[in-house]
Amino acid sequence: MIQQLLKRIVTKDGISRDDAAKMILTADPLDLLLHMEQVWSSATSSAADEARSKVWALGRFAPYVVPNGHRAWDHLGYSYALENTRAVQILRRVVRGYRSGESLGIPKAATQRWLDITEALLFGATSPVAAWLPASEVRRSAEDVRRNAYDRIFGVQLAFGTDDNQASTYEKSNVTNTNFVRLFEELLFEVWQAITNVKNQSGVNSTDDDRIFRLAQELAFVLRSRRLQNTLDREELIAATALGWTELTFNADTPVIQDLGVQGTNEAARCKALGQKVGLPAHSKSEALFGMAVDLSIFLRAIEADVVTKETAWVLYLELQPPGTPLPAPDPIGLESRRLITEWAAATGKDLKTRAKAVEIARPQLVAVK
Amino acid sequence: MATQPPGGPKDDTRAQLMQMRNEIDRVVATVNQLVTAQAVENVLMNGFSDLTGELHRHLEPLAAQLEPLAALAPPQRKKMEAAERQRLADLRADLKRESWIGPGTPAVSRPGLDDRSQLYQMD
Repeated sequence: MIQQLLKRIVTKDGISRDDAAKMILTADPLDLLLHMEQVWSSATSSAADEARSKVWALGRFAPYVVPNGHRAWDHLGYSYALENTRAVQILRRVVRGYRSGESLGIPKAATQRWLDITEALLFGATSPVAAWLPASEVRRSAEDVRRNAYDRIFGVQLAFGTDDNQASTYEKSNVTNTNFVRLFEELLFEVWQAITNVKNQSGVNSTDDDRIFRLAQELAFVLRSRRLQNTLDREELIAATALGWTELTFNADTPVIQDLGVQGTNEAARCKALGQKVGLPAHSKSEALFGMAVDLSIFLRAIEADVVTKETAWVLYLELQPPGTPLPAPDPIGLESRRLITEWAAATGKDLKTRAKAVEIARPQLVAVK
Repeated sequence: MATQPPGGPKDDTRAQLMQMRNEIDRVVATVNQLVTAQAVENVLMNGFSDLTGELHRHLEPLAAQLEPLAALAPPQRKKMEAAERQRLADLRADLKRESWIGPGTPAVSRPGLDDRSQLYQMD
């Protein structure tokens, strides 16, 4: 949501991305929260009651409105990838260090503004809409809510416990998508086979469009089964906002990075350096996790959006539309898929470019039922 | 050193070679003549269409033989429907963005912004 807002500011105002980022980084937290509610209203339409619409329109970012019906925030997969770097827990320690004493020094004005926004977006300090707070007495912390959502949609947990290295005690769901990872990795394998054969005009072509379609379809069923009646959409938006803010924090030498004297040449390096500073090591594969977040979001959203059909499985592995497609023709997501395969393999240590287990041709035949 | 008398085995071989070469030249000339004449004559008399038809008649059995190999050909990719294209375009508009490579990241030329600590100064 934050990164999409940055893009909308650049497009609408015609300013540089640095200036747009500065506008967000120095914004009032209430303005960002109002915009988040505005994005939610645009996506769901049903929630656009009159009073609320007027309240949302008061925010500084109200002009950068999203068209109705558009879910202009990242898929939960984006949040999962970024949260696995442990960046949120590292920022929690930074906030605690600054708010509870002077162990990290005295924050400058820009850093204090950053602290305000971080507490609001990540740790539930304020919200203009109490009924839609990301956490409550029942749902204890925003992190636990996200952990619950990751578990339900992807059937996975984060790679670490709480920030004091205890096992997380988030509320477990009775239903989770335990077969998501298997399907997802099988699909990535098939997509890689197709990518390697895109320019193959003469040899044996192992591209299997029908299998790609079936895997994508099954994955879509699995993902949608946890999203009936827009379930978990709200949690997804809140997670995307929190992690979008986290990504923005590490995108550059932002005020807090400068104030803390952390050096790094990219997001992952800054995150690791900051983790060392506050005594909480970041994930060793942070580079891959930061690198895949956006592509994973686009890939999963494409799966859910019914873009992949029986005849158009190529959308997952081509980089351009087939010749003769009427213009304007949006690019297929081949580039994103390729990057995702590379980074997912790096992060998980699984080689998705080769089949883990060969097909057994000498398998015993089924025994006849007697 | 003894010289070879005229009419010996070496002269016979040379004569045979000459004869063979002449015959080959004659055959090549005849074939060229026939092919050129036939092709030109065909085109003049029947036009290109009949020639193409003739060609197709010869190629049809060949195409039938190659039919099983079609499975090895690159897949035929159907174009997206308008609604599908629209969904993909919306998805890209909503989610796709360039990564913001902000100050502090090397390999980005930013003339006039050397003192990057000034970038985020509050007013």
